[in-house]
Amino acid sequence: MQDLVNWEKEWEEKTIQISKVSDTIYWNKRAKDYTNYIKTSDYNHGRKIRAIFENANILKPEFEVLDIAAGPGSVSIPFAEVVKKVTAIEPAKEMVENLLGNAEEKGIKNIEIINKKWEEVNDAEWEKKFDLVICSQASWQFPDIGEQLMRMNRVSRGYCSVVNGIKDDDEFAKIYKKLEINPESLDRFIYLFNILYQRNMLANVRMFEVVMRRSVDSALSMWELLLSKYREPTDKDKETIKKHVFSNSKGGLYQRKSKMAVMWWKAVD
Amino acid sequence: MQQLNWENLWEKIYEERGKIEYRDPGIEYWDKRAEDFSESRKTNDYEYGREVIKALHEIINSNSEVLDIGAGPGTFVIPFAKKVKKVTAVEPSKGMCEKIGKNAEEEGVRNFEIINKVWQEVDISKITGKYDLVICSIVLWIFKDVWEQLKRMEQSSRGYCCVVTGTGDWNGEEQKLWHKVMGDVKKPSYSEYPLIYNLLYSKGRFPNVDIIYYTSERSVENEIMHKKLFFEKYREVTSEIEQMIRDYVLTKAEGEKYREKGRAAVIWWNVQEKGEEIQ
Repeated sequence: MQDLVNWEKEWEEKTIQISKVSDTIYWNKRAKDYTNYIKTSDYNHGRKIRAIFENANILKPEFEVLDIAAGPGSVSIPFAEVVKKVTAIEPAKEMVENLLGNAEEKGIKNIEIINKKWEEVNDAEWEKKFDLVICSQASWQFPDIGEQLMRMNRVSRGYCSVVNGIKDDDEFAKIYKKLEINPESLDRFIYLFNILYQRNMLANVRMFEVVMRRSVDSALSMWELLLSKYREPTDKDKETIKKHVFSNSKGGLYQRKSKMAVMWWKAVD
Repeated sequence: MQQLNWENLWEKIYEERGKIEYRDPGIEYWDKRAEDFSESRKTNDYEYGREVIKALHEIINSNSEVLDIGAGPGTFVIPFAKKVKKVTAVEPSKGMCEKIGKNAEEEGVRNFEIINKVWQEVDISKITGKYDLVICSIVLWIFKDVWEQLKRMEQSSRGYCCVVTGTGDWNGEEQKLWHKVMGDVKKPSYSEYPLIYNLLYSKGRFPNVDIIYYTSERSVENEIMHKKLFFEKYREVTSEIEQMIRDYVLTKAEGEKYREKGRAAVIWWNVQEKGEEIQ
């Protein structure tokens, strides 16, 4: 019945396009504003993911965790606070610099950084090496998502997890419309859910609310870079972005609530 | 996929099952199933029900009032009643209702009541927003108009709804006996998962899931009875067929007991939280 949809094929078609424009060069440029978001929000979503695992009673102090596409440490930092070791894979050099800085600021020493793409990692060498393998907000990079989920499964001796946002809210739809851009509209969560089912990795799911908080400057930079995926922002574009950011900011902070889903499953042989 | 209509898909599966049905035994079927079903759900001190409680631990407490739809032999009534204020059980089969009473007495459980009705006949206007949790276990496949029934569950809740669904024939064992008895006829699908999840999500709900594992134990005779009653829905069970069932059960049995591993999905959502419908 669910076989009526070829989830992986649809995912692949829609993902090839976005992964071309959201490359490592793009994320090097985004490192600064993204780090501001993560820090201003005090690692909000990473902390909530950690709390969900703690509540489900699966996180242990002796855990070794693999964080795929770690960024500035959104997930690595809150997890490193409670487990033995986090291995963070991150291809963008600028992000790595920010991750190092953030860890130092928190006095965290148990994060090992691997400056590579996850696809370049030799998974055979890492067979069943980690207790938890997590990929948060990064699945959009992988057109061959089924294959990458299987590789995650392979390097885990305990659990695997993918985390994704759910549907853009109206506020975002409005500004996309004003800027006349049409970013990928794939609702990745429901695809991941069904792909995992079809791959016989039945996942637990928890929905949770996150608050994105960032400085006005960081928000302006984010929107301009996002737009630059489609075209060089004009003065008029910059004006539109400014209007949107200021009307959604309070006390110098741009805020937005949204929902995310964490899915996790026991690694299967 | 966003255009996929999960309600239509559900109806189609429902109708396909109906097409190969040989006879519809009605509610009487459940009267006859009370004995074996009760034994199965009581396995390991109501393990199945307790696993569901574990999944829901954050949303139930000693003040909760729970509505249990299609309560069967007390699958949830018994373990839930020990944790919450009160359980109201909707159960159409008299045989099952008697079992609930018996099982409750055995466990000293008193904080429950039974509504001996078909769920569709329960007047929702009288119970609107009355319960903290409205739950049903492997029942939805009975409803052709599943979305209508899910909405009625939501109406009677002031907090959460939960559906526990089977996840299909996950070890392939059931297929073997089916084809022995039924030949080339395709085994009908009773699987509610992940279709129900997709349906709820497409309607703007934000459902959580826990996958649970449990054991189901029956005496050899109860297991033979269970399988015989099941196949009677799809063909005449001759003495030859009965022998086939008996042989199958005996080769799988460990002494007097027949054990099966089960897997189910516990899906729950807050009825107040609604996003936009997709489509």
